[in-house]
Formats: sequence, structure tokens, C-alpha cells
Amino acid sequence: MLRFFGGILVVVVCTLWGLLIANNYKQRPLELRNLRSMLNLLETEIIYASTPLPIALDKIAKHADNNISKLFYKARDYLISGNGITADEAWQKALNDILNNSYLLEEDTGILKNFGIGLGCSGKNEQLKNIQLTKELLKKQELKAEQDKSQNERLWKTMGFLSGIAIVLLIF
Amino acid sequence: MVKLIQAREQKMHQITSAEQLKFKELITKFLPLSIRQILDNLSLESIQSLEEIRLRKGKPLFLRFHERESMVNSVGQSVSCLSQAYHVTEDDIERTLHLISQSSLYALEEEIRNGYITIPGGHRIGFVGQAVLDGLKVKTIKYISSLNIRLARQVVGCATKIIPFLYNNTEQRPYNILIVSPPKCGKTTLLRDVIRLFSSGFYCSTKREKIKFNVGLVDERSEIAGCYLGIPQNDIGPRTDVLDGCPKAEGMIMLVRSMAPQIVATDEIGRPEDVGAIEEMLNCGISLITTAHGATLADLENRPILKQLINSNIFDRYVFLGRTLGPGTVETILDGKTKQNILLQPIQTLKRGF
Repeated sequence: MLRFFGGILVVVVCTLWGLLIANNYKQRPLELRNLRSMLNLLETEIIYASTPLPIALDKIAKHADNNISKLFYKARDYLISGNGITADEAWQKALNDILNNSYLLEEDTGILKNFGIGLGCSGKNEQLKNIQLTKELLKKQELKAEQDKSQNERLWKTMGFLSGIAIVLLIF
Repeated sequence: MVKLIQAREQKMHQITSAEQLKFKELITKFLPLSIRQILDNLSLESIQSLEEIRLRKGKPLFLRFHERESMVNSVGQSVSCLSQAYHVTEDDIERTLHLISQSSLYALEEEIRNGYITIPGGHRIGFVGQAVLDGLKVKTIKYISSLNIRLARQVVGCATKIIPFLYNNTEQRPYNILIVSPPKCGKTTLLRDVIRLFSSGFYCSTKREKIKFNVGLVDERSEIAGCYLGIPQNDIGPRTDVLDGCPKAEGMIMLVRSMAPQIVATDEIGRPEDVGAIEEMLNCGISLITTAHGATLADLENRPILKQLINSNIFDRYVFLGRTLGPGTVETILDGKTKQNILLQPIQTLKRGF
């Protein structure tokens, strides 16, 4: 009886583990897409409305999904904290804060870090270039992430379950 | 007795901290931490007389007070030796720009082109660097190397003593006034309070009720009203309409057409196109209050545009400012026609504070 339940436990854990990894593959392109559309909004705010950055970040955060929303809220909070930090520093700090809970990979955050360097410190033309470049790079990452997803999501979903079964068979 | 002294000390302390808090809230939050530390150590007296904070890349930090200029070291003590002074770094300048623009330089392209930014409180930050040209016009300024933070001091009530000289009791309208002064004698401060008084109303010996006027203000350099996001930061009276950042000549005509003012006020006239605008305005029966740089009437007459205005007897009153009793001393008030002084003795108008 104990063996039976032990076996089931192993299978369940392995399945969940597989689902978790599969979920990473599923969420990453979603986050990247959300980021890209939020950058579109930021572009409108900066280029057409000349909205000051803290207000623009706040507006965007309201429209963004969970993790991305946190990124924008945190960047805004750091920016208006009155500690004398620049937009770049606020952005990098916010990025570091959300990194652990995000599905983004290091190559994605690298792009975002570079984006922060030019944030807010130049005229509209340069801001536009910076945003557009970042959007393009994120789009490439998104395509890659989609590919990874189609290759790996189903694989990990089934693999978790199957490896659970395999372990059970091997042990008993 | 001891209690009394204690209470008085406590009160003084409260005043000190209120003034210092206001200074922190309005000024130092736009500066990087390194410079904030220096300014936090300034005494109340220094804060009250502080007029300018000058930041130049790689050069000492200069603080300009009423009567003196001083260099300070990194803990806020004034020093006389260049090498002991706190030297402003490139990072300081960059951070200050970030902080005053809320990291949104893209939103201030026009201000950068003009070379200054107005911050809440009406204080102005001027800057220079390398100009980038587009044809003959300045497109933007890059490599910003010097910043000058000029503290705007509004002194509400400073014009009260001279307002009787500026109102024509028989015709029941304000005179056309030219306020003349060398730089840093309180020209704009006085103009601001004259506007406030005419706009909010004042009592005159012959009338029971307050005399008040609609004032149109063309604030080309955002110095008088100190508008931030379109809202005047200084008290300029309840009946004042501000046209912010607009060229004077165009602005005066616009105001006359759109806002039906009884008084039009503006700062520092002297361009050829101003004359036409002033003439058109005066023909509509509107009074003009304006200012010019100079120390004497002869100074003004050396400038062709102003000479033209003086000779055509446009102004009824010339108010001359100086520093004999401190900044903001009204030295003389000349009658426009006779060019005679109508003031018995100089009047001190400014008692400073935030």
C-alpha cells in the first residue's frame, strides 16, 4: 500500500515538474509580447504626448500584465523616490527586482538593460530610435521564444509524466 | 522666565526648520546627493540670502548670496582656497539635469533650446553647453557644462509703499510705468508685486472701495508668474491672465484681442517689434507696466528703441531701482513729462525670505 502511494507521489511530482517547465516556455513569449506592446504605449506617451517619464510609466503599468506591470510600477517608484537617481538606475533596479519572478531569460533582460541606458536622457528622436530598436530586438526574441515553445512545451508536459512512470518502474 | 526663553527658542527652531524644509522641498531635491549634503549644512541665514547656485563642470561649486559669493567644501563650510572647494563633477551636472526634468528631457526640447527650465516655485535653472544648429536656429544644446540655479524670491507686499505713485487718481487708471534697474536689484520682484496689487486691488485715499483691474501678463521667460505646467507658482493676483512663454510683441497684441485687459504687463522691453505692439495697445486705452535694464534715464536714452519710447512720452512714471538701502531700493520715481523726481527719499521695498 505504502509503495503504491509512494509511486503515485513520484509520478505526480514529476508531472508537476514537467508542467512547470512547460509553463516557462509558454509564458516567456507572452511576457515578451506584452513588453513590446507596452513599449508601443511608451512611444506614444513620449513622442506624441511629451508625458514626463514617471507619469508615462504609471499609465503603462496600469495596462500591463502582472510581471511587466510590476516592472513599470517599480521603475516609477524608484524614479520618484527623491533619492536623486536617474531613469537608467531606476529601470535597472526595477529589472533586478522582478527578475526572479519573471519568465524572461538572460538574453531578454540584456536587451531591457540596454534599453534603460538611453531612457529619458535625450530628445524625442533619440528616444524613438531607442524604443524602436528595443522593440525590434524583443520581436526577434519573441519569435525565438515561440519556436522554443512549440518544440518544448508539449515535450516537457509529457516528459514529466513519463519520467515519473520510468522512475517508479525502475525503483520497484 | 526660563519657560519664556524656552518657548521662544522652540518657536525660533520651528521657523528655522520650516524655512529649511521648504528649501529642501523646493530646491535641493533637484540636486544630486553630493551637493544636497552641502546645502543641507547651510545655516538659516545663508538660506535666506541665497540667490544663486552655480554648477560648472570640473570647477568649484559657487553659492551667490546677496552681497557676497562663496565657495564651499564638501561639508558645506565656506572656503577661500580653490583647491579646498567642492568641485562639480560631470555626473553632478548630468544627474541634476535628470532630476529637474524628471528624467524626461524629451519633454523639454523647447526649454532646452531656450536655455532654461522653470521648476515648481518659479525658480529657474539656466544652462549652457554646445549649441547644435539647424540652419541659423539653435536646435538643441548638447554637452551641457554649466548650470545656474536662480532662486526666485517672491516678496508679497513689496510694492505697497509705491503703489500710490503709480495710480492716476484723476483719470482713475494706472499710469504707464517703466521700472528701470541694473541686474539683481529686484526689478522682476517689484513688477510682480505691482501686478499683484493692481490685480487683487488696493485702497486709495479718495475712494471707499478697492481699486482693481484686469491684468494681462506676457511672461516670455516664465520669470514673473513662474508657471509650471501652466499654473502660476507666484501670487500675481486673482484677475491676472498669464500668456506664458510667448514673445512679447505678439503676446501683447494677442492679449488685447482675446482677454480685454485693462493693464498689460511684461518684462524687459527693448526689441524693435515691441514699439509697434506698445503703440497699438496704448491706442486701445490700455495701461502698460514694463521693465528695462539700466541705472539712469541717460542709460535708457542711449538705446535707440527705448529712446524712441521715451521721446514719444509713452511712459508716465519711471521707477528707478538701486541698492543704496539694499536690493530693491526705489531710488527715484520720475514723472514722465517733466522728468522730475516725485519721491522725497529712497524707499526700501524688499525684505527677503521664501
